[in-house]
Amino acid sequence: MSKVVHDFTVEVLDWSPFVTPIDLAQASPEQRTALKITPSNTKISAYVLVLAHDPESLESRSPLFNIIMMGKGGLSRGDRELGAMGASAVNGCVYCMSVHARNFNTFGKRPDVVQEIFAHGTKATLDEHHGAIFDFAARLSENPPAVGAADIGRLRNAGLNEEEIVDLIHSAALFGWANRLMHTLGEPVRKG
Amino acid sequence: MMEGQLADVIDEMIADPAIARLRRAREDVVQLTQRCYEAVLTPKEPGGLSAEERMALACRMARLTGVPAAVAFYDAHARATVQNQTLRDVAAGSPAHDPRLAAIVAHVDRVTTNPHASGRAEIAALVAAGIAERDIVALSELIAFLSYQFRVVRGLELLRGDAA
Repeated sequence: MSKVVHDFTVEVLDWSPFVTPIDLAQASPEQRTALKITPSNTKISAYVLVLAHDPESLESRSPLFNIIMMGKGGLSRGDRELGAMGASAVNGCVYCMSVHARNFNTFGKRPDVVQEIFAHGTKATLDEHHGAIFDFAARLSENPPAVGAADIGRLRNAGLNEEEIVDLIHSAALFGWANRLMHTLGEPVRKG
Repeated sequence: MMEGQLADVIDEMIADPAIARLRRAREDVVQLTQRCYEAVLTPKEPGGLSAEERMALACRMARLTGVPAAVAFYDAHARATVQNQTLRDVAAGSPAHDPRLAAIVAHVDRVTTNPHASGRAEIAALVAAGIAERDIVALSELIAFLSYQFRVVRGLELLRGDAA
C-alpha cells in the first residue's frame, strides 16, 4: 500500500490521480496528437494521461513547459528550477518540489539551498543571488501576487538582465499552473 | 489579421511596445501561451463548459487575483461576451445557487486562492455535482492556466515600471 507524502523531499515519488487517466487504447486522434510531446519529454505518466482529457490544452502546454524550463540561453537552468521551487513552496506542491529540487541539485549544485528551503519554506534565508530569485518567485506565487518594484530591484542588483527576469517570471508563473494541476488532481505517494 | 485570429492577449493587457519587444526574446513562449489561452477560453470542443461560462469564471478569477491589467481585460471581455445574468453575477464575484454552478464556483475560488486546500474530497464534490471527469480536467486547466497568465502579466507590469 503506497503512502501519501506530505513533507518536501528529493525522493523520486509516484503520483496517484483523483481523476481516471484516459485509456491509451481508446484515445481519440486529438488525444494521440497531444500525447506526442510530454512535459520534460519523459514516458507517458498517469499525470499526462489525466491531462489528456483536455487534449487542446495539453498539446500546447507540453512544448510550452519544456521551452520555459529548458529553452536555450537566458536565465540559467538552475535559476529557473529555483523559480519553480519558490512557487511550489507557496502552493505546498510536494510532488513538483521533489522533481524541481532534484533538477536544481543537478544544475545548481547547491544542496545547502535545497536544505534551507525544505527547512524554512518561504522564510528560507539564502545568499543574495538565490535569495533574490527564490523570494521573487515565492512572492509572485502568493494570491494576490505580492511582488513589487523592490523585488525587481533585488533581481537587477543580483545581476539579472531584463531577458533573464522575463525567464524567471515565466518559470515561477508556470508553477502557478503546474502546482494547481499536480496538487489538485492527484497526490504524491512513496514508491513501492 | 485574419478573421478568427486573436491578437496576443498579454500584449493587449500590457499595452507597451517595449515590453512586447522584450517578450519576443522568447517568441515560442509568446505563441504557445496564446494558444493555451485559446484552448481554455475558446476551445474548439468546449465539452460541458461553455465559452460564456469560461469567460465568466476567468473574470471572477482575475478579480480574486487582483492583477490590475488582467482585471481590466477580463472585466471588459466579460461585459462584452457574457449575456446570461447568472453568469454575469458569477463574473462579478457573487455566489451561484444552481448546484452544478455552485460546485464549479467553489472549486474556482479555492484553487485560485489556495490550491493547497484542494484534495481528493474537492474532486469528489465536483463528481457528486454531476461534472464529468473530462470537464473537471478542463476546469482545472482553465484555473491553472489563468493563474500562470495573471502572474506573467503581474511580472511584466512591474518591468513596464508600474509602482508597487
